[in-house]
Amino acid sequence: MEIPYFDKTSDADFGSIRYMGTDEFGHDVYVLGKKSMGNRYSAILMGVAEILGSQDQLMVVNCMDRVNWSMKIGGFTSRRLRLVLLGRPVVTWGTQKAFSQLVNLVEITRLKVMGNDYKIQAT
Amino acid sequence: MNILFLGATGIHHTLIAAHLYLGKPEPVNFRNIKFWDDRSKEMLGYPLFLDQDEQRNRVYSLGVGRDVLMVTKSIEQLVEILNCTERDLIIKPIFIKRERLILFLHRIGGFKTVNHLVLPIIDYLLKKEYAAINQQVKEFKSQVRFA
Repeated sequence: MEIPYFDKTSDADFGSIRYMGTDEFGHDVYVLGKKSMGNRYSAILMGVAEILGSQDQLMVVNCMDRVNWSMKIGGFTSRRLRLVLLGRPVVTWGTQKAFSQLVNLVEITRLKVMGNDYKIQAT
Repeated sequence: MNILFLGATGIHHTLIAAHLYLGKPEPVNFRNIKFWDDRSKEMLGYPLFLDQDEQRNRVYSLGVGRDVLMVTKSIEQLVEILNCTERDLIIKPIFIKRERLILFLHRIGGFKTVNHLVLPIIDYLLKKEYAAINQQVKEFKSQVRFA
């Protein structure tokens, strides 16, 4: 719950690339909510980076395959239906359950970015 | 500089807009336009490079699904993050009244048998929208001239 933006975003935040911090290698890390657009969004962002000749500066990490149903239903209830009291405990419980999966994704990403000058986006 | 036309699909109205922007001859049949209804290219999600305009700007068409404004916002912010400006990439979203319907038809047209039925409907709808697309391109052209 102490993580910035955790279950606190509004509809207007979808599509906004928000800065989260800089990792130990000096890469800037951002988050982005993309509704239900899946891997297509990653391709769009990478495609645009390619047009700009900056594809080697960007890594897009799709987190959705680590998100479980409790997180989806809890997040939907809390954010979309605005039933925070009902949805937040469910999304928090789901996040605790998915935590090891998310840590695994972070470890994989760390290995990939080592030694590269990326800006990282978790979508 | 690069110019990116964005729309619900990148292989229909957005493609027509880019085609008109490039000053190519008015299409008698949309199906003659390069990448028209090219589902395999659209599925990749990458911008489709069409050609260069008279000022040697590279022109692309990109389909982004239902929420064109959300993706426009992300791309604008990404351009900034990558230390680029509007001089590197101009984004032009193309909106038409029947874009949701066209997107729906495009999606159900994923089945080969349905596609034969759906394509003439898309053609018909786009002929109805042609003036609106042309108007957006005209306005954009004058903006680019002064950019």
